[in-house]
Amino acid sequence: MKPAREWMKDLADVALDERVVRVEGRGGEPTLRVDSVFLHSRYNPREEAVRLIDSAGLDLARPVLVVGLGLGYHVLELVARGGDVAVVEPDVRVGRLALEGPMRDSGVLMGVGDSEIIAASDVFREFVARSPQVLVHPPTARLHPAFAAAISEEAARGALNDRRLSVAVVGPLYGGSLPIARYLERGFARLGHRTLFVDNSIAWTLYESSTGSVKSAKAAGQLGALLTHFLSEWSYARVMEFAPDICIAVAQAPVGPGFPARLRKEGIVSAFWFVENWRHLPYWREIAPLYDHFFHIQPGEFEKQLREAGCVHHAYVQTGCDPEVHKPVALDASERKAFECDLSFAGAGYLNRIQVFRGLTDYDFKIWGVEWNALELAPLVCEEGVRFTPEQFAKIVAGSKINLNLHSSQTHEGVDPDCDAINPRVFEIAACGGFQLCDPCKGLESLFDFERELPVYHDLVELREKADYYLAHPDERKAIAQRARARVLQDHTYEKRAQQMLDALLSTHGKQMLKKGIRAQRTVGEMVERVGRDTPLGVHLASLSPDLLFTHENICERAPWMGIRPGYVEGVFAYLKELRTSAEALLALREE
Amino acid sequence: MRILVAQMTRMGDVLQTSPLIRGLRRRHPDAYIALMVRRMGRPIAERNPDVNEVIVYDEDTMFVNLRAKDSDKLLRAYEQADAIVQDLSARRFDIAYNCTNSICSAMLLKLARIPQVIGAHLSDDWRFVLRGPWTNYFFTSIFHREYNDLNLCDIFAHFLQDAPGAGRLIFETREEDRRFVASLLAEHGVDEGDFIACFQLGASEGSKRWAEGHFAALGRMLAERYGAKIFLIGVEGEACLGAALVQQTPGIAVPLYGKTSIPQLAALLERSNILVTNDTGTMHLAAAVGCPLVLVSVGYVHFRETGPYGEGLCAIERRRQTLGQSGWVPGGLQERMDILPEQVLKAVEFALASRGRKPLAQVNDGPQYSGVGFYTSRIAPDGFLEWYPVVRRPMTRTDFLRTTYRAMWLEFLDAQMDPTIEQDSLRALLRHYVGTTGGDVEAWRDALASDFSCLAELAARGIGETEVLLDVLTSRKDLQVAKEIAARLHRLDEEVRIFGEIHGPCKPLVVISRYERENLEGADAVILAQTTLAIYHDLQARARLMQAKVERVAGLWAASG
Repeated sequence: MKPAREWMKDLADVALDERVVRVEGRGGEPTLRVDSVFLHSRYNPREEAVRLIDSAGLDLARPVLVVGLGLGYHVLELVARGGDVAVVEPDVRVGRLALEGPMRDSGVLMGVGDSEIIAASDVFREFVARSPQVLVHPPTARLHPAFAAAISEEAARGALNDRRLSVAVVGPLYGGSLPIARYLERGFARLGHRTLFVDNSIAWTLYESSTGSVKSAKAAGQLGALLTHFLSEWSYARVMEFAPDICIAVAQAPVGPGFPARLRKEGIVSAFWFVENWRHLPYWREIAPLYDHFFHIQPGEFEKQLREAGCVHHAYVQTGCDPEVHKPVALDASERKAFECDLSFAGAGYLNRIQVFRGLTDYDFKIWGVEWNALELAPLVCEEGVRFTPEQFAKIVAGSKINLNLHSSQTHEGVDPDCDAINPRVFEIAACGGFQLCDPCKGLESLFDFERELPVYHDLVELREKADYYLAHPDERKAIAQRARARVLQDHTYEKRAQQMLDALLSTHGKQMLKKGIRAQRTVGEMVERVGRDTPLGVHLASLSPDLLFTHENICERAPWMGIRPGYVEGVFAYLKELRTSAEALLALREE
Repeated sequence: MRILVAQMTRMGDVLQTSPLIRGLRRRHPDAYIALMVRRMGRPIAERNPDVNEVIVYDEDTMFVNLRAKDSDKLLRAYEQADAIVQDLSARRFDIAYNCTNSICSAMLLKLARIPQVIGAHLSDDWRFVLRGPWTNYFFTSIFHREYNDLNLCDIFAHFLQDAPGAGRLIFETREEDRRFVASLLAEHGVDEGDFIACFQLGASEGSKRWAEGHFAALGRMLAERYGAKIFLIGVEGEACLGAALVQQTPGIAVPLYGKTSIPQLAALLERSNILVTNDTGTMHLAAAVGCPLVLVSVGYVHFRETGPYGEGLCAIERRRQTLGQSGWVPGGLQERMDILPEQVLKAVEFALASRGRKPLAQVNDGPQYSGVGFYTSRIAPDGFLEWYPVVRRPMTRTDFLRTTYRAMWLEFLDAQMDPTIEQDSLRALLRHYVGTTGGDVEAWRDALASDFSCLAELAARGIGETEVLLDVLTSRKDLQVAKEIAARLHRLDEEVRIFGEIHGPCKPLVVISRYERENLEGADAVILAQTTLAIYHDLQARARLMQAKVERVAGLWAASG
């Protein structure tokens, strides 16, 4: 990329042919025809350019990357309005004709030719690092859809990849997806992004007690719906106050179908993470098309179903482990007594599990979790009816020589050969340093080495054989557990999952995010470097924690209130705090 | 001398500050006067010949940057604030008059290290303080709007001690603006001598807008009676308000929303026969260029304080018991419709007839004035704006108290009032009432004199306690005793507050006193006690003065027969 006028010499010798024709317009201004596509209006291309820019909703205080040059009418209109513009064009013939026409002597940054070469240039990278909005010239996109898509994606990546984004995660009221939502939020935070976890579980007790205290199922349902609606509004208000770039609702989050549309209106990219088995819970069909992106844990058939349901952007993102929670723990004497055993299982008592585990009652076997109603298993169940915490889970793993894992099924007895919904337990046991025997859920083979990291069984007989073998070979158990732990820490953390989601979102919705503009989130340390350590602001900021984010909440809100004589910089921040507070109060008054 | 006048509120407020600036110019003919305004006030400030320089204060951009949740933008907001402070600092003003009712403006002037600030300011330990009796009055008038009879322009003007009265708002119209208006009027077929009425339908809040349907009806009446051409004026965003009116008055009303600059609008008003308006900046502009006007005062608008400044202007309002925002309950569309078009037409006729400061010709009450109060303005003999009732009616106790409070404040605030002039002013007002309603003046006098006497006694107790406290703090230095006295003072303050709640007419004095206590400057116990003593002295003096003025006004009323 370089200023347009510097391309004159390079493009002067480009051969023109009958496919690219300069046509004199009916209003006196020329246009271009490429094959059968006119790049500008034949009547009034300048007026058309004005309309294009008017309708684009651009913020001209920020840079604009124009994809598609044509003869440059729209580019010149942007420049005339004071825009900071760069333009890319795939067709060198079009580039030549533009430079011989309206774009002659223009100083606008321009890239011509192959998208990869343009994107690799330092000038392009520097330009997109400033988070430009992308304006695609529609006729160019019709002629070169792959170029338009590729360059838009490159622009989004270049602009957003290293930016500290703001990500909100909306959690459910209760259930298995609640901790997953928390882990995901922490995953984003570990990647350095600013995060918000909307914790709907604070309303669980109210939900449970209010719906459980009325006899009528209809009344209970209405009460539940009211509370869910309330939480949906609360979640929206929390998210809007946080003003994120991305908002991810996790399965069972109490948000209504209008939630993603409201976010989109504010320029926030919405996503849903469906950490459920689509065959068991069909609600995905209604909501998947509503979100900008739909993440799920089952590749294959489900993806076909999603496409048929009208969900355009979806991606497979597996659950994982949170190394801060899922880690090996040492047990004290009393804990050893409580948790030590040969075999254990931690989870809910689904029918297929009950069927398999009935054949293991002759082992030193402990079962943890809820809904274990089978009489034969009753003596094995610990703390019956009590849900275990992640901390207790780590202790269960630490106390067990073999941790059993068996994916739940509502359609098969025993091991379900068609199961493709990998449960998070497989990653969590591995991260806790436990040795596990697992059924070969579809997809697991791509995540683990079954020989070295995750031994599997296909039925009760094989399970018993392998349990006997590994109980007799503790060193092998230990080695396999270590390799499995290394695997999950390397490939299957929620930090990785968060990055996978970001990659997908930037690829499909980076342009949307660029249009809204990404909020710069810098630390106080970074700002000190930026303003200079010896400036009054630098000196003041250096007295604060360098890891603190440089935001109004962290800086202005800490400024002293009346009655304390501040230093100059503190005084300016106190003034800014007062300015914002009083202006917001005035706005609130007007809204009333 | 370098003087800064800070008026960073709305357009109308900038005009309302112009009498102060005129006073400053007269007092300091060679001074360099800068006026700091928000962007919307710039066109007004630029047409003030007393101003040497207009400084534009752009708070909006800083606010947007502060709300952006973006580190770079927060830095930009800091840099903007820093630049404003440094710029003000570099201009080395000797004194600033802060007419902006905000802590924010006080902080800004403090940061800019301007040596003397009149108006809202910060003490050295960064407490919000109000220096000077008129500043105090300005900030506390909101607490006693029911009895406040002083216009904001007069209050601002007296930020300058012993202010020479300006008597009018200052705005300079120019030939180029008049030429524009001539061509605009020609475009709409208006000839010289044709009757022009301007309607300002918008207002800063919906509740302050007289109903659009009533404006339409009035438009038809004016067209019928005067052959009036109606121009609908206001900013572009208000065009929707005029759309229905244009439909209802085909061929009569011409929308000019966003079609004129402020100076051009001023020139249009200068040429217009009448402006009918809500409480807006346009209203002040009309007053500044001498356009007769009728303010239709709805919602919580208090025209005596924020209404137009000048002679012969009219205001019409729904009659009510409470005034000001604190006592106002939103009445919705009904309240906006209470004042009828026929009643406003009466006001228009009056405004047109009384142009040229003719003596006020009152009208007899009748059903056509039912439910409304109708007033016209004059500069009273005391030099301050006064609103006289146009409809001859009996005086209410509120009228009596408002008159009394005005006399008290003008003496207390040291307006250098000659007793004869005060007498002339009071007589001029009282003669516009016939009899009383809801009681008689003698009974009011007796009850009120007693109430204010009791309040003065309470203040005297405060004086006594505080004098002992000061003695303890300075001579005996006994902290325990000081604490006990402070506790007694606290109880006394509660007693005073409850007294104010029970005796409504005394409440303004109580509320102001409490407000002053809450704005004490400094942390030094002795200084605090001294200031507290001064506040009790002020309370006592005001109460005693009220007692005296009640007697005086009642005496004049009796003498007038």
